Amino acid sequence: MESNKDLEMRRAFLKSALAASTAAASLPFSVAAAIPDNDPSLAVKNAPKFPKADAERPLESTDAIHADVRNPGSDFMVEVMQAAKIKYVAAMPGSTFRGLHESIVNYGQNKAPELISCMHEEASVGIAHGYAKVSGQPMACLVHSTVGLQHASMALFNAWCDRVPILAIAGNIVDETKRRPGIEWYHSAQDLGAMVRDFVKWDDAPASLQHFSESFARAKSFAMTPPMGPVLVVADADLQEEPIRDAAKLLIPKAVEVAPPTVSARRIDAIADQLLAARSPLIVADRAVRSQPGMRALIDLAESLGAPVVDQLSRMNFPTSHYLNHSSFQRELVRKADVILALEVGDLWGTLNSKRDVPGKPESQLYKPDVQVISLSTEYLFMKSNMQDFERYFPASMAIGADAEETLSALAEAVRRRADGPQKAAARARKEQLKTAFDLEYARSRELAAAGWDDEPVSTARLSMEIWDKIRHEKWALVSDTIFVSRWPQRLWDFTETYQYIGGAGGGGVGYGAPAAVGAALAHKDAGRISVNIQTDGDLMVMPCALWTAAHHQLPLLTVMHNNRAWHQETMHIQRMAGQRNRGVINAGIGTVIKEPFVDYASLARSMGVWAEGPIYDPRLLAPALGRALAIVKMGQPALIDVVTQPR
Amino acid sequence: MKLLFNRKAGNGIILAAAIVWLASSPSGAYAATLSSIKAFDAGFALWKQYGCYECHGQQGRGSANDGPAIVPMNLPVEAFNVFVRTPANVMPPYSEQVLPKEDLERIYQYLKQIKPPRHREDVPELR
Repeated sequence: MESNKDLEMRRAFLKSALAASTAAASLPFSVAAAIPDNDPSLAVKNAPKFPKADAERPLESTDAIHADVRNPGSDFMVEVMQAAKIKYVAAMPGSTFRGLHESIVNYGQNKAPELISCMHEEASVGIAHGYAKVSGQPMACLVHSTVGLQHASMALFNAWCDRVPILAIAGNIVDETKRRPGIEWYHSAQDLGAMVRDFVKWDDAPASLQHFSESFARAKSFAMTPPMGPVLVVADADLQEEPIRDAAKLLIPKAVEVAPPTVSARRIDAIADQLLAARSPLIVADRAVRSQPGMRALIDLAESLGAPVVDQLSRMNFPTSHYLNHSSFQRELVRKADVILALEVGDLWGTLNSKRDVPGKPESQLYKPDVQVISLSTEYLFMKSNMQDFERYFPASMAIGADAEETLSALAEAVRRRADGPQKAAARARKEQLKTAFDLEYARSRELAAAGWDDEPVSTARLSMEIWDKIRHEKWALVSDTIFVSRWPQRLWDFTETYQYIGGAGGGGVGYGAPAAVGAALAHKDAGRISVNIQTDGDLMVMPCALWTAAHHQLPLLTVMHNNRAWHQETMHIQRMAGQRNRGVINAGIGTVIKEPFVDYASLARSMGVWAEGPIYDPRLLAPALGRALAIVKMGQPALIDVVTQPR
Repeated sequence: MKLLFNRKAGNGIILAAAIVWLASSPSGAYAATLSSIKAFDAGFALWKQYGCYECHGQQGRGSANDGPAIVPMNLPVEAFNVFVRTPANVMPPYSEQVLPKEDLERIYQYLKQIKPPRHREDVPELR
């Protein structure tokens, strides 16, 4: 407790401090300190240039209030986006970008960029994510300052981990004197980009329109240069809404296309020689292929080497029906290989080692001690620290910071050119063995799919095969991850084009599935294709609003629910914990199973204007329902079939 | 009789069909079949209650990433019990404390009675 003496001393201190502060408060600190209280002549001579803070100000002119702003800065911003060839901009409305929103729909006439209406900023970015992976071009998305960017951040993280270009534009009001009292202060930040800086490739907060124009061009170039990634440009609301002061001085620079890094001819020859010398070469591809020529080059390379290919499926790298696709046998092939070519493999350590999810987390090495690992990846060239998406360090025998897609063609050519007679013969012999193994695996997959054909609820194999039976003669694309349906589409369908599969979320952020499918479907619609989304139930519940966007924009998207009525992965985690602790697993469904009540996904979809049927429990009812849904999709509308399924 | 034990038609239909079929059967067979249906249902309930279906599927067909197919169940009951109590890999161990012997026996009987897998040649879509 304070003594009476202490209290008296504190009162005296506060009294003197209050007096001093009252005297100084009416003038700027530097002037007040310089003027003696009793010298009026000096006070006049050194009068401050600026009005006192408490001086009366005249009312603002009503002319200014009703000014006709015919050339707002946001019109220029639209021209910047047009110059960057931004075709779509996804947005949920927000007042910090109202100027830009108005310019897009009126000045730009809502054409290139066209506004894609969204109901959540996470959906906006997810849509841009899916769109970019199909079209190869970034979509822009507008987010509303602090609140919108926080909503968007989950999807930006996914895009960062998945190395996908997105141009995020966030509104903000940086000048506090331009903010209206109240809400606009909550919706402004001193350094808005700080919230997402750990997982965007680059961000900027331009201070002028010219600055905006140059930053936007730089942002697009950065986003599109491998390793690609999302970028953020803050569009200050004042810049958007104020008239352009000197239009003649504004310039829109071109967003340069940076040539991806590749490998010198000498090093390519060295890689080719090492691969040709291998007895058991193996190619592992993850985010390697972006185009059909890239896939063709990988096929050439694999065929020339007689090497099996493991497609880790963050992208569609290799045709599923090619006899050198041995993705089901990654572990066995890693154990056997003497030279491994890893192409943009995100988790090289995890590819070559095993770590069991049991107490102590024991790990084991899968690869031979003398294996040569050639890792070709742009991951070596750019990375950030905080998010740990770079995975565990693995010292490759030869690590090359270069873009796989850009390098594959030259590498395939070098292998063809440098192969000698015995090497060609060895490659032919390996190919014969691999053909036989492929045929066996092809038959085994069908055998396994048949096993649960009549099971209720519907097996994921039957779900996949019934969809394939309906779409195989259409121009189709699968726009969802297949990891949660046991990779059945890759095991049963015939994927031949890169656009037919786009991998998963990248960062494992739940809520990616439906928005990314919508974005991908938008790109496929432009290319005249229908899209299929095998949609997990837990994921849809995070971002169901994406269905509304599909309906609103009339996207030919067939969504087939993989409704196992649980966050199944998490159920197994709780089971695993309970088992390790000898506590029994019967409570593992608490908090992980989606029941009591079951969700009616068909009604959910219908409420947002999507044609829907279900739930379907009997597998015999699936094919007819899919037929009806596909008819809707072929008319250019989205449809959803709710199918109750086996867990995986 | 094993072919009857498939859940696709639901318990009521299976039971009704079995009763109709057994109306002309000797009373011993009738009682035995009812007993089997009850055992099948009890085993299935336990299979779900103990979460086995999460990795192995509701009919034990397995999945590529989680648990292997365990149907048809060809293990002798003794080997099955040992595996469940002390599994390999990441399957959680089920001690007798958390999964009593009687329940494990019913689960085993459920797996033994599941309809055998179809062959791919029987499925036109998979030929």
